[in-house]
Amino acid sequence: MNKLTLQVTKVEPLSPLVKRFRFEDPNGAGLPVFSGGAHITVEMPEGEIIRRNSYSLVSDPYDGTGYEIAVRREDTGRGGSRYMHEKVSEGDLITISAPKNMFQLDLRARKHVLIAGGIGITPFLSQLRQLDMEQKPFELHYAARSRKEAAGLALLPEAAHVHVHISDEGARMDLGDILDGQPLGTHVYTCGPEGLIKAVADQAARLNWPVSSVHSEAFTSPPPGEPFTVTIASTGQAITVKANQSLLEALEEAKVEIDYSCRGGACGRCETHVSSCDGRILHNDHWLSEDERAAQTKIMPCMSRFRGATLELDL
Amino acid sequence: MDQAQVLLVAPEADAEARMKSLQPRGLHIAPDLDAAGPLFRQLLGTARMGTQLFLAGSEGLMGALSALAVAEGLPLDAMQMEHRGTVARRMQCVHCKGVTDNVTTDPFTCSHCGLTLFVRDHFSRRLGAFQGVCVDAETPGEIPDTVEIRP
Repeated sequence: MNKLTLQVTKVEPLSPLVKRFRFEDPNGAGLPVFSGGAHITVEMPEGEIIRRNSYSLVSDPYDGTGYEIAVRREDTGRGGSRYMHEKVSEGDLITISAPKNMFQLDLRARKHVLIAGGIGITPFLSQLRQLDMEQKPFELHYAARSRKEAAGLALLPEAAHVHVHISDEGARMDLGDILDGQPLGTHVYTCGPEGLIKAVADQAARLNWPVSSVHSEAFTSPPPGEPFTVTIASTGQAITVKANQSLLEALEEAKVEIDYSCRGGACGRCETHVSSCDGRILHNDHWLSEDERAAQTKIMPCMSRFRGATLELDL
Repeated sequence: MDQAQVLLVAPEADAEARMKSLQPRGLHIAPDLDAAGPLFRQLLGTARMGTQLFLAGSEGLMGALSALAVAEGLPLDAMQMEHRGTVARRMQCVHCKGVTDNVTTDPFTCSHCGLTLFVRDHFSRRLGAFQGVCVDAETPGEIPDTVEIRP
């Protein structure tokens, strides 16, 4: 895993719940440039455990002088975003992964329609810069509950093709209106809550959009849940996953070697075979198919949990 | 049919009348594939997302028009194709990039640069053509027997 140790050079509130962080090389070296929609994984060491969360880069993809992310504080999560909000300050050193992109623009598109719900605006902020640079036609729709909560407002340009829908002000987003009649070769991208992603996919399907023109990225960090225990098949080792820890984090803490990338259930890198399962796997990923979920022979440790008597992993 | 735009390329004598009786929204006739291109591009230019493309015809027609549609932004999963008639191929010479249509033998002579080309099964979706590679590059003049292309 390609890691960078950077310095936090700026922390700035964008809204009551969202802070923007800027990271730069401590010696002023240039950072790898990236592509619109890319994310980094941030390491958050706390005592014995290292939490790792992925955040979309919101800065200019062509600007190697620094990386910026915007983090929404989730008080019901495992504590990753709370750590960012409470423990990270200017001057700190922080370890991150090199940028990776699971949500890139399809550059064959004739037009791009970007639809963001809430903090789902983040991957689009870097994509906007790329689209501007490449002079590609696009429109962006940003839906938020209230103007106060809409952290993206501070980061969005005022332009005719940037539309803000604030539901508190009665300006709800009308997906039918947005998608109907788009020219041939349009691609739509959605980032935000599951409900929005599904609504866009359903609307596109009703209008006979080809599946390959519909893209999405769910904003997911592993959900907390009841503690559970897994067994490692090769060693017989029993590992307990705490309530506010993911299975992947528990495996890492126990020094069990496992590959990962997105840590959000999207990329498939940490897919692990289950050698025996007496209970129910709580699948929270976007990777496994319906059939694979039902078979209970595979698990995505970055997102999924378990409830039952025994779960043995083929590791 | 009330939403369909139909483009007939070099239709047989009675095809136009038969198609007309089905009352499509639009009916367009092109005398050959070259003339069909601009007409087809114009139709795609006014089309909206949700449009489906059905191509039925020779390898050459499917290759040329699907490549044009891809270039206009139509994804492959919005296209259905049905091969009708001859198995003759539309070939691109990988050396001079010239396209020779209606190739029925392997090897064949590039109609642009004159090289003798081996007919590969490698198909470019972007170009809508199979790839033809010089068959005697290593031993000039040593050319295998010419055979008819099979499907």
